[in-house]
Amino acid sequence: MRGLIYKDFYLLRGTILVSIVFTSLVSLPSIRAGAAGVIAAGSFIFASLLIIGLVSNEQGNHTLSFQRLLPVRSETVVDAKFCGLIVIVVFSLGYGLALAGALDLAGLVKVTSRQAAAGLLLGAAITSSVLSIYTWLFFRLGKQYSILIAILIMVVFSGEWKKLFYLSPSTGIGLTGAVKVSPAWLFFGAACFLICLRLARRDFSRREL
Amino acid sequence: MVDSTTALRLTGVGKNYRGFRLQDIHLELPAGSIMGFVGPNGAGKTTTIRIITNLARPDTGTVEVLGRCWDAAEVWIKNRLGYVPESNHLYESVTGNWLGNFLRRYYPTWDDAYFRALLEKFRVPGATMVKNLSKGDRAKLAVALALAHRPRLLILDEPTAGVDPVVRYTLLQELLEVIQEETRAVLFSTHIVSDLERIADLVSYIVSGRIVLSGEKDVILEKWHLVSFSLQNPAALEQVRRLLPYVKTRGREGRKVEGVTGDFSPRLLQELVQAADGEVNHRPLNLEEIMVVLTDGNW
Ligand SMILES: Nc1ncnc2c1ncn2[C@@H]1O[C@H](COP(=O)(O)OP(=O)(O)O)[C@@H](O)[C@H]1O
Ligand SMILES: [Mg+2]
Repeated sequence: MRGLIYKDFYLLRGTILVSIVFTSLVSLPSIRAGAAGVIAAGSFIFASLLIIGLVSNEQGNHTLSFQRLLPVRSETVVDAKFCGLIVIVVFSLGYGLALAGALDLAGLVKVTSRQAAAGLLLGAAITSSVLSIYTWLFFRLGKQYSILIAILIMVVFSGEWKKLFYLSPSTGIGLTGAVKVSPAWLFFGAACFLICLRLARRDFSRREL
Repeated sequence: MVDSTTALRLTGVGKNYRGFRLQDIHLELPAGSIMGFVGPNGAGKTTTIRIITNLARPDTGTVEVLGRCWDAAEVWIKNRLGYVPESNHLYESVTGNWLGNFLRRYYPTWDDAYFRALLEKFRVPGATMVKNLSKGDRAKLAVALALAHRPRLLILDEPTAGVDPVVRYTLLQELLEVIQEETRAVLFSTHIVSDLERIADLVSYIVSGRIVLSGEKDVILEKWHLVSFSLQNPAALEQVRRLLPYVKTRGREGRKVEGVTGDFSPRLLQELVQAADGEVNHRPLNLEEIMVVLTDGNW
């Protein structure tokens, strides 16, 4: 399985730098939501780009059939992608933290431990839940459909994303900065991850390629 | 250890798609033989192969690979199976060498020296990205990658399709050499029948989702003959139709008869002579002509 995970990131090698630059620019408006908003939005956008890259490595059904014929159980192919997802979530949280730190140095936000904790929790929860669903749909339906559905989710819930990441309409301060830090978010993210992993394992070994 | 198991056995395999039905496919490939799997485009070759490789599930029937079923021995089968699909299945932004290193981790029987020797023999540059390889080189790389773990069953789905005739010839020649080096079973699908003339031990024809002819190549080539003669009288046609499954008539009053039999024998010839006015000409058909007879509605 290590080989499969390594393969995914090796194929991603060309796009990581571009993703970092792009995310840094796109996350700047979340400064208004304070450090927590920067961390959560930055990590989510960055992780989304990476996971879409990870999935786009697969060229239609062909490279999936290549993997289905590797001498491992077909579930292992799914496990490897989900392990890659964990790596991406951790990596992107680190990135979100670094971005907030850089903005702190520039005097644009103030990173407090409370803000950092809120940002990391929210980032981890949203990233792992949304991207787990995305990865599952990829294994069930293929990348065209999963990207379409991901875009649809973004558009339909755009109001909600704004509230979470950017600003609270009433106070103007970052909503996430004011939200009570709750470990329950992590449970939610982890539950989504496990359920989607299970569904993806089942669906991929049944899928016709 | 001498291996006497059947490399591949399909029993009553069927699959329904909208607008296409694969029906009652029976195939049996003994260990160590090469089977040509022939049929026109859209006949169901790839669908059958996807069922064999467990990329698609059959609606009916059973598939046994090297004596085992997929559900019971998934990894065991994959370890012993080499597969070259119809369309390129390799990652584009890596090199052939990289892919070799990747697969080496997975196959316990991977033979790296053999892999490198194959690349050299095929003259495929191992350090070039797949996306920069020519179509012929990609096909050869895919074959080398499928052979390097020395599979006991090798499945090639139209490896020569879309490759120009010159490259096709060399690819086939090289394929022939490496395939024959060892005793392994090979299923080779193609719509270019002449590819098989040299390499196949067995031939199975598939037309519109059904196996219409299957057997040893040499026997098929011996038994399938084209006969032509003139009829003594129009009434004799009835008898000729009983003797020959494929009959065409032309000339005045349909006196000139052309027919094809899949069971030629001196005795059949004798019987035809009785219905004929004069000489009965006959000659064996090649695999391609047989395919035309089996496929073409005019026969
Ligand atoms: N996944 C699928 N869904 C629907 N129809 C399919 C599918 N795969 C193949 N077919 C149909 O099955 C027929 C046989 O295709 P195929 O097995 O690829 O033929 P061949 O390989 O002999 O050219 C075609 O008409 C094709 O449209
Ligand atoms: Mg085909």
